[in-house]
Amino acid sequence: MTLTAPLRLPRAVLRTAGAWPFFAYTGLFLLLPTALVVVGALTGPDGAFSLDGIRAALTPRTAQVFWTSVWLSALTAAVGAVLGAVIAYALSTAPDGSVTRRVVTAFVSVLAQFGGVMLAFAFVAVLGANGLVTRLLREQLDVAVSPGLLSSMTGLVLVYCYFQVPLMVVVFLPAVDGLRPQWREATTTMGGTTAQYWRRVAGPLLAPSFLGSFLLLFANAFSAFATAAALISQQTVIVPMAIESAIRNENNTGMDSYAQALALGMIAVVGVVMTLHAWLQRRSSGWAAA
Amino acid sequence: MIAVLTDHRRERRTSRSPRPANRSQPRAGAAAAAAQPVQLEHVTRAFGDVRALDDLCLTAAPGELLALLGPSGCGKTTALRALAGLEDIDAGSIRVGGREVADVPAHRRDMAMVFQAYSLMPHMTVAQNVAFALELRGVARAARARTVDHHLELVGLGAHRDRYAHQLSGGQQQRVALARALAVQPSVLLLDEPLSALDAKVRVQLREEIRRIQTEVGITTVFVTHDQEEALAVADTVAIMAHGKVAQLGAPQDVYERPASAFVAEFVGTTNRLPARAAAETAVVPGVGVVTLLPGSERGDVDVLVRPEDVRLLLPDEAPVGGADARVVAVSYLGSHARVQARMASGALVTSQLRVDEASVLTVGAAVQVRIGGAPALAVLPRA
Amino acid sequence: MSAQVATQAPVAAVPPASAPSAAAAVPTGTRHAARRRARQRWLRRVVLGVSLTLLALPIVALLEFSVRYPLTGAVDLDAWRKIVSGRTSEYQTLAPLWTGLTNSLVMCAITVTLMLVLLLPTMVWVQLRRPRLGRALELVCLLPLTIPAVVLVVGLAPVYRVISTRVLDSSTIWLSFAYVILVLPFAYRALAAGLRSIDLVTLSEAARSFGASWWVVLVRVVAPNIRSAIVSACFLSVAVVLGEFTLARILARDNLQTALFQINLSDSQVAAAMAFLALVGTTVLLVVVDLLMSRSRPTRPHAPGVTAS
Repeated sequence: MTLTAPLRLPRAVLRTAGAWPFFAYTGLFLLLPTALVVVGALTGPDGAFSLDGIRAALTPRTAQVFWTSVWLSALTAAVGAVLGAVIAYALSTAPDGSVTRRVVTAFVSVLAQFGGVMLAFAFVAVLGANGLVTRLLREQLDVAVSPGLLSSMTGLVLVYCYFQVPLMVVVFLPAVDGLRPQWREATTTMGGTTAQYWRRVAGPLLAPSFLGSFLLLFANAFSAFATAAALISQQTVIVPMAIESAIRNENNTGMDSYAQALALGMIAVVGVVMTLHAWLQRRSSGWAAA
Repeated sequence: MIAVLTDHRRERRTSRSPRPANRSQPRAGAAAAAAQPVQLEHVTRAFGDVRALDDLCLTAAPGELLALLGPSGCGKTTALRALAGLEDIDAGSIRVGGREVADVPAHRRDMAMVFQAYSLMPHMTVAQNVAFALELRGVARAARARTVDHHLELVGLGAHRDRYAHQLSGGQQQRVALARALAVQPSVLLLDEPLSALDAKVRVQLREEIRRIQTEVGITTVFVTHDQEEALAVADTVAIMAHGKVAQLGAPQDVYERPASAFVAEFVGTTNRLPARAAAETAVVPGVGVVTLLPGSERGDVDVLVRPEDVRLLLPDEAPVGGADARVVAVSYLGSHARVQARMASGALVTSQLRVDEASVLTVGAAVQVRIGGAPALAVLPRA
Repeated sequence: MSAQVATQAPVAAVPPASAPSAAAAVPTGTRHAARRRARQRWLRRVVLGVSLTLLALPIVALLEFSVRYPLTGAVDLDAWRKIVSGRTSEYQTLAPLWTGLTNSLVMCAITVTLMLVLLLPTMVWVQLRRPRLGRALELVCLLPLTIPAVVLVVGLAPVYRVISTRVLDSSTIWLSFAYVILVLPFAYRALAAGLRSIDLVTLSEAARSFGASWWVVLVRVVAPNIRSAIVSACFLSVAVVLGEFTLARILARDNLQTALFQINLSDSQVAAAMAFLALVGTTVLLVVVDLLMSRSRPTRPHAPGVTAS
């Protein structure tokens, strides 16, 4: 577009200058760090290209933390996706703008944020040695909650679900809301039952969004660090914790490249997941526009 | 019941005359034997304090196209949805082919509906959409393909069978919806404002096509619309609805020429209200003339409702004695005819529809005499 | 066939063939749609009731934990008393908490300011002058969603080594520079929604035609028109900064979350009370964001685009 007002600086400078500060800043604090990880992981101490760092990182120990991270993320994403989808559907039946809808959406969007240290504390208050539920179970049903529950993988799965389920509601609700009442009514008048509607219409229509949301949940859990760090302090169970211990171990200079190799591994996993996610979104975007 | 001529789709037809032709004669080619009558009797439905349907009684004869016409909120869509089973009724009877269906849930009512828009399944192609309808009706897979092809040809979309809904225009989407509805050979076809989301030109074209296909297939059809021109153009019978009741039920020509109430006369088409004095059979419009009264007219001091095409405006030199003095205030050319507004000595505005050559001699400010033609008119009580 | 109807046409509101069939009517009406709606309502209440109860449980427990003396089970407001009394020499162990909280609040201010100064003019400028840059801008802004913070921190570690030794110092508040990156996706989405809701090109052309400078367009024309989007972007940023743990922990800085982590070891009740407060604060911020966003958006309101954890 052309503006009529006189320009105070030469046009050529102005035409590019407006975005410089932003791209310079993000270059320094986003793109440079990312590049440092990738380059650092792929170069040797002499600065030349080398896969030694990666090779050195490929130990059974590394494989173990990656495997734990992957299954923890997949499992909690699956549980979160299924439960969250049910809640999102239930919520979508509430009228637009109703109190129920407003309250629940606000609540789940807070809980989706509610990862990390605070969530870990809250679970200590629920299932820790003196937790609310621990006491209830002990006093009412005489059931003992294992004191190590929260620092075990079972506990971690449980706690992760508390931010995965709400996140699923947040990201999946728009898809459920996108189901037009006409589709159900058309199916009904053509002789379709509720089961047929879900199997042949709503199911296939929601499938890409559901899978996409699952992938988003996976990436979310895979990237999470604080919750596990606050609950499990004795061992290194997931990749982010391995990265932390590598970086904070300043005595050993080789650890920097180990951290970079691990980080590159995370970029690879999340990259694959997000590429799949983008592909799914493109596939269903034609429908969404209809 | 397929007795369909696969003739070529006529994209355009000459537009109908403004005054609808009487089309109440039985049509040739209609598979009237299989067509079912539809009866709604004393149907009541309230939403809170609002009575959407108030003791509604309606009948559609086998094979005819019944248009439910009315302003928004008159209950026409509720009536259609009640017929489809998508909406509950509080009381009353709904019968198709003489069989009571009120207790039958929607998916077993053997009907098919075309919605206002967006009713195609977006993840299915055109052909899959039609085949899906057949699948729901339990048609064997092998038998579906032929029916699908046949109905896509019927609506002129054979070439688009592998497209998705978002790749079609609004008009094409509605054609597919129509093909899908017809493919299942329902006992009744329900159309819920199927054209209102379309552009004006496509709307006229598609309504004529709906009419042609409906005539060919000979299926009893209920068509909901708020567009009176559309209703008059496509329907065998028009039911004009207001406040959940039928204000008038009749052939398009009847409701237009012999409105039963001021509401009908003013909702369907344009009408002039002229103060008059009504006696037994006729009314005298002072300074303008005498009109014959329709049944149901009021007597005494009344307004007579006169269509613009029954109002003539004459230049003084050609006017016989007795016309009212009036002055032209606006002339609008509408292509095939012209509308002229004149203000009478009494201050009242009168609208006249004239041939273009008749209107061409009239200019704004011209003094004219108003005469009203021979068609009978309804006399109603003057507005308070 | 339709002659039967046509003959009765002029008679108003007289139902055809009404009298004899009245007996066939359904006096009680039908309940097809009503039954479906009732089933749906029942499902909604059960699902939402159970899930909300379970989801609220940790928050309730957090509050209960903060007021319950663990050994006796008696109600004990000691933790809250300590928090209310603020930073005093009486409770030396709580010093890190106040340091962390102060750092976090200062970083909120710096992050929000930097975010607004960097992002808003750029977005407006790109949309007006170089719309083609829009894709690149969006890509960069949403990139932090796909790069885990823990990966970013590996690359940020050398950057911060330079910052703390050669440029500035090792103070925690310089973490704000990295936090701007973390809040970028949320702020971008909020601002983009606001800018979409106004006709930016026409507004600015109108203002420029009256002789307004580019700066005046931004501050006096655009900003007031997307005020709620700006407030949303700020609040979302504050929520992210207050909840940030990964960067601070791995780069060995002290913010609210690392302080909570540390305090929990010595005084878990205070940590619980503080976590509860932080949670309530975040909730209020996000509820305000939701209200603001749904006001500027004519279509269905849904949750603000928060996906971090």
